[in-house]
Amino acid sequence: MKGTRIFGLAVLGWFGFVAGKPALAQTLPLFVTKAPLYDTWMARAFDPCTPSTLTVLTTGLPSGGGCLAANSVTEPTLPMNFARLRVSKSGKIGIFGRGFTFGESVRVRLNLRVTRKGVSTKHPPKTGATVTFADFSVDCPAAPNAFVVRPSGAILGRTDLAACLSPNTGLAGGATPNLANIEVLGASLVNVSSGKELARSGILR
Amino acid sequence: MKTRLYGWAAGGLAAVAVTWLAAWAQAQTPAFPQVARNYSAWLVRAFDACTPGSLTVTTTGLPAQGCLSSATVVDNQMPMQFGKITISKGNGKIKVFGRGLTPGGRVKVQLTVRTTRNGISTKHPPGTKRVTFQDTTVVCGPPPFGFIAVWPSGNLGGKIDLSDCLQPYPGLALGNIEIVDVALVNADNANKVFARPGIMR
Repeated sequence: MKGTRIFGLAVLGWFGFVAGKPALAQTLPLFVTKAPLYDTWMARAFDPCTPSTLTVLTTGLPSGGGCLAANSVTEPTLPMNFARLRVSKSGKIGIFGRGFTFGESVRVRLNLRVTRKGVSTKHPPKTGATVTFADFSVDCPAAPNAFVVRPSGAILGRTDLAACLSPNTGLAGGATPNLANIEVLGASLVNVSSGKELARSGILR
Repeated sequence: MKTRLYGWAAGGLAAVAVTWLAAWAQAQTPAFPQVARNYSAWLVRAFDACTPGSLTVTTTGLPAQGCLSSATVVDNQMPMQFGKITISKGNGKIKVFGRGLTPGGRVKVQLTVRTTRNGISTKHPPGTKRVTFQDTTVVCGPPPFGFIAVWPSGNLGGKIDLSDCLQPYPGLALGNIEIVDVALVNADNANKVFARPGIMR
């Protein structure tokens, strides 16, 4: 009788262990093993729309959900034929585009959420903690630098993410691989002279 | 007297011209790009947003404030070794693939777009205009089930038509489409986000 009870308890304990382990282990999900590239073409940036009185008649579209396109909070003048943006695992940000105005300059704006392993904290005291930092927006390359449009109207350049993040260069990772989980919440191009976004990641169809 | 009338007329004309020019300038919006072929991103793990509180970070090269990482708003159940998402102009498909997910799990795509289209018929005001639509967020999957099922091997692979995804407004899948946000969600856990575009370093 006693043996059966002990056996029963042991079985229950085992099931508890097996069932409980994944739940505990999955409380904080593991980082992915690889995410080498963020690569996007850019669509033109337009002001967000808060629907007003505009009634749309074209089918397949929200009849009351549109606004006349506007560029007051976004860049209204700087033209662009196309642009493509790449952010690679090496931390390089590359941009290529055409059809811009010669002499103007642009920067890449990234909206990021970084979660880092191996962080030391004081309150509460911990070593090797996994910490998520507040979402932030960074313009690359950092001022006073920028991607300057060539006489042909083209932009071609590369810059380094860690340099843009200075003095918080650790947000871009570290010497050890897979230390920083960098969520790209948004990517855009900014006209330096107006400070307004002219293009955002997207497609044209 | 005649000179005065001329002056008033000229002034009136100038005022009308200025008003018209201002309205014209406001109505002009920049041309769409000639081409924007695709959006292609590898996926990283999604974590809860941080509002810095009392956590003090002492590691150098990092902001002094942060949060111990958590996954309560986001999903904490679907594992993933890696994943990738592509949205193509050509076939208008959203393609997803990944490895190391829960076999039998159900995954959907969460997408927020801001579409601007030329030549849209409008009634108030009447005409054919360039229209920007309100940012639209959808959670979608391919028919017939409306989700992508993870294979027994833990692999994930699926395609969704952008126009299907944006139902009941497939017209939002045309024009200048800004991808404001994209993520994968776990359909077995209240459509919580588990992966977002990013890089791992």
